[in-house]
Amino acid sequence: MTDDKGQDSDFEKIREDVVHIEEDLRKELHHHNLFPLIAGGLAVFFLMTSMVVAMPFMFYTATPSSIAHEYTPLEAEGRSLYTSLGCFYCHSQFNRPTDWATGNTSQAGDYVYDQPHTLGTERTGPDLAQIGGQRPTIWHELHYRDPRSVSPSSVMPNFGFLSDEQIEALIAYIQYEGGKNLETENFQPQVPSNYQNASNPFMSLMMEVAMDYNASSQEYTGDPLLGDNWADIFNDGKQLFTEKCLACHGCSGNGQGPYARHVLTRPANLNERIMNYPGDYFHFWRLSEGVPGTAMPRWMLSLNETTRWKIATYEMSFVLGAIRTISGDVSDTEGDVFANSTKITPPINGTQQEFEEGQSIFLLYCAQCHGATGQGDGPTSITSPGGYISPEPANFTESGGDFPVYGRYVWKVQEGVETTNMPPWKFALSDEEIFNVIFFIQSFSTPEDYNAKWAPQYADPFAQNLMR
Amino acid sequence: MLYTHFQVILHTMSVKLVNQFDEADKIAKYWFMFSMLWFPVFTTFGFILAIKFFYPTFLVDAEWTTFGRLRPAHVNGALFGIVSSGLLGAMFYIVPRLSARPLYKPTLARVTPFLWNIAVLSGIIMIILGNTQAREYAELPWIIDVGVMITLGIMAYVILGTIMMRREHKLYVSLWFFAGTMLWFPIVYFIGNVMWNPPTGALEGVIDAIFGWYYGHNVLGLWFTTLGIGVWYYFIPRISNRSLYSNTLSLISFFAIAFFYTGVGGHHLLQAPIPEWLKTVAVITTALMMVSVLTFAVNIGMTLRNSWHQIITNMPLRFIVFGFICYIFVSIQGSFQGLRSTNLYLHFSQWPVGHAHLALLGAFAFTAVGVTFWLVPRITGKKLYSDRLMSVTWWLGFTGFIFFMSGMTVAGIVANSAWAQHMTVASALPMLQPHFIVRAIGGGVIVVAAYIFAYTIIRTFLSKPPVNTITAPNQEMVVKSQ
Repeated sequence: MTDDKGQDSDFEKIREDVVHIEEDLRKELHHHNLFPLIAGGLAVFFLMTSMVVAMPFMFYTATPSSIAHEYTPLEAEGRSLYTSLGCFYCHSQFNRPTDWATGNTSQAGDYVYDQPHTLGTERTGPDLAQIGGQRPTIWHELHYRDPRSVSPSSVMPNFGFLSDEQIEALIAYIQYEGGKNLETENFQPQVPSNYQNASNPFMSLMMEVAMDYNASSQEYTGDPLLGDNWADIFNDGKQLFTEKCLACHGCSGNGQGPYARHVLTRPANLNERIMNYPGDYFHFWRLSEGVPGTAMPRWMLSLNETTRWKIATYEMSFVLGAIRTISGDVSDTEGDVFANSTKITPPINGTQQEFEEGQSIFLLYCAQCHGATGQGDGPTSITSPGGYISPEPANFTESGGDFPVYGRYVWKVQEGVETTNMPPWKFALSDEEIFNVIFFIQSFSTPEDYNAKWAPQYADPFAQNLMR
Repeated sequence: MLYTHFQVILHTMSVKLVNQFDEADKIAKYWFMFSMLWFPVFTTFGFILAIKFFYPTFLVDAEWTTFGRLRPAHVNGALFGIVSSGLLGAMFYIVPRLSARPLYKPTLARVTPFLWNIAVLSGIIMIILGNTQAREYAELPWIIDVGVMITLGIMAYVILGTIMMRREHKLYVSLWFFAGTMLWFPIVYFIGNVMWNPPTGALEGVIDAIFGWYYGHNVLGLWFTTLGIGVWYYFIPRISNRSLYSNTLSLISFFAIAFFYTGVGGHHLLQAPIPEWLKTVAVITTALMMVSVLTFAVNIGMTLRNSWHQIITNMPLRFIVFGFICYIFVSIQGSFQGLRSTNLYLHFSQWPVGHAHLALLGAFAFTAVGVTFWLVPRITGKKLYSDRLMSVTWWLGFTGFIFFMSGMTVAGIVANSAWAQHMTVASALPMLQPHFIVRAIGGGVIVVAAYIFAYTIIRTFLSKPPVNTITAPNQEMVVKSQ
């Protein structure tokens, strides 16, 4: 029995030892296993976190860029709508260097007033970083209420549930994205510095003669010498315009010359465009350097500076009207002198074919001002709504007395009319085209007038019987 | 019969047979219930969003049904509702077993699934009503962030406590990852959500984007990935009954993740005006993520050698291994699309959306579903309601996912190539429509699978336990005196 007891106690002792050893071993294992993993894992985590988060936070500051601005209360309200409606899930707000035609590459300084950021991650819709001013305000309103009414391929939800005030706020935010203000003259690109100080050398002369000119009575009462100077410059500019510009911009500057249909980007409507130019220097820059992406050439390569200024000066008449320092009588007299010296009669027979050619030339070139029915009421004539060509173009219906002889027609068409927008067509049309178009224009006169004056001058029965 | 006798004997001895993992399993069960409930709900949200891409006037009459509100609801619901709940359930199951001890502070731990899911649900309701912080992945309002932080704190306390006081000598690799996650993620969450600035939860300017994407990518890298890897390291060897191939490879992947993954956030901003050196750090760490991914892939792949046939016979393993394969795919895809040149081409389209779904749906949600299918019968001691429905879930989920994923990826490439040719965004949209429709069809099939999954699991919970069988045959029993 005692042996048994001794054996038992020995066994207990051994078991206790084993338990101790086991516990020691466990402790050791715990320390060796968990600590280095946790410490190492945290160390590398903090190292990287301090690099990618703490370092930018402490050392990276952006100064506000030219397009950054503090939000007005209305814009701030619009921005909070933008974020709470989740617009940024589909619209990113940064232009990348590779992006095309959406504005300048975004810089950190553009975003200094944004909290939270709305850079976005997707372009289900277009990028909005610099959307401001790219579309009219009414467009945005229609777009929010029914996106597909203005952008047919859009998959944007309708935001018709927004109140008018909310839509106004949203538009305020969107229109100022990119920091553009919406003043019309600021829609223009930046003019290079070497053009910023360019000024029109003929401007002072123009101002002087303009002061002595009454546009409604078409009377010039100023110094005749100055008037002649002006007429020279104006007519030089007009001739150059006829030679260089008319083919695309049209004789009335409305951008609908005969070549307009052949170019992808429509030629400028000079009346609209020049009216919105920030100044002469801008006009001169466009004229000199051309317009990238259009057929507008760099005229500085073929014309000298004075010549370019003369063209620019002439083109001003598409906005302000021509200053008629030389009265219409001068042109009539010159025409009569020409008629008497040449005794000119129609060099064409007056066939139907000639008539139709004349008609097509008239519609292509002349109808812009004189109107398709020859009443001086073309779309650009001052007598039409929205028209600007002043003094008003001739009305051929009432002009029986205006053209007593054929030579006056030929003179006025070939040489133009001084200090008006009637161009010297000899620089744009052939003689034959001019004769054909005169034949067509004569058909606007009253039958008595035509039969008395013009019908006998033509050999062909078509012309003789045209108005009978 | 034998078991009944055994119980009678134990009863007379006034002791009771107790499973030492009961408490942890109960908590895991709650997590799985939430995950299962959210699955159909938030995938339905996603389906509605997919429809809106080709039927834009669908559900636009009220603010809260517009795309901008449903999208964050879907994303947060899927991330923190579906996937987090599933993976956390698995974690609560795994950690006590690998530590060979009951869960530390089980009563405290029991509040976590409820606190977390109530916080997430109320946060999503707030987002839908327009109260959002408007930072992608970090939309939850500040007060919800506080709830999430408290839950994370409790979980860290419980899980780290369990691991520290474990009875098992060895510290299995899954435990490293869970311990790491519990330490890293609360910090990531706090910094990324800018929680010291409650009114907006944001900073001013591009710094906010840097913080936002530090969080945005690490919610994936130091939360889903590290939880998921812990789950794969446990369940793939466990279900396929193979021992892990290499501890050294695990060690490499662990430290590679902790170091490299932390820095990749900047690759979301590669063409944005953030400091160039930060982009370089992001690109380098993104590329070096391959170290972690390939070591993990080799480790699991070698563990499964000669055992791949089990994914044919074992349906839950099939889900989990599919998740593992998707994780490898998405990581390699991620490393390549995070390079400057590829990112320049692929950014902004539906391609990255596909990438995100490959990770969260393909890799982690499939894994969570597999784990749920495998564990719920074991935790509850009930037989799975229907093996056939589990099979239907797989085939619908898998087929749907293929169409879903390819729809988005192709839509992305089409859009990217159109933009590269200087087409405008709006003019390229009509070309994407067929792919949007394919995406919605695939997504719709996945939603059907989600409902079948939820139905199967609910019926399993509701079924009666079989009588006279030992509740959990493969679990350790200990005798605890009453």
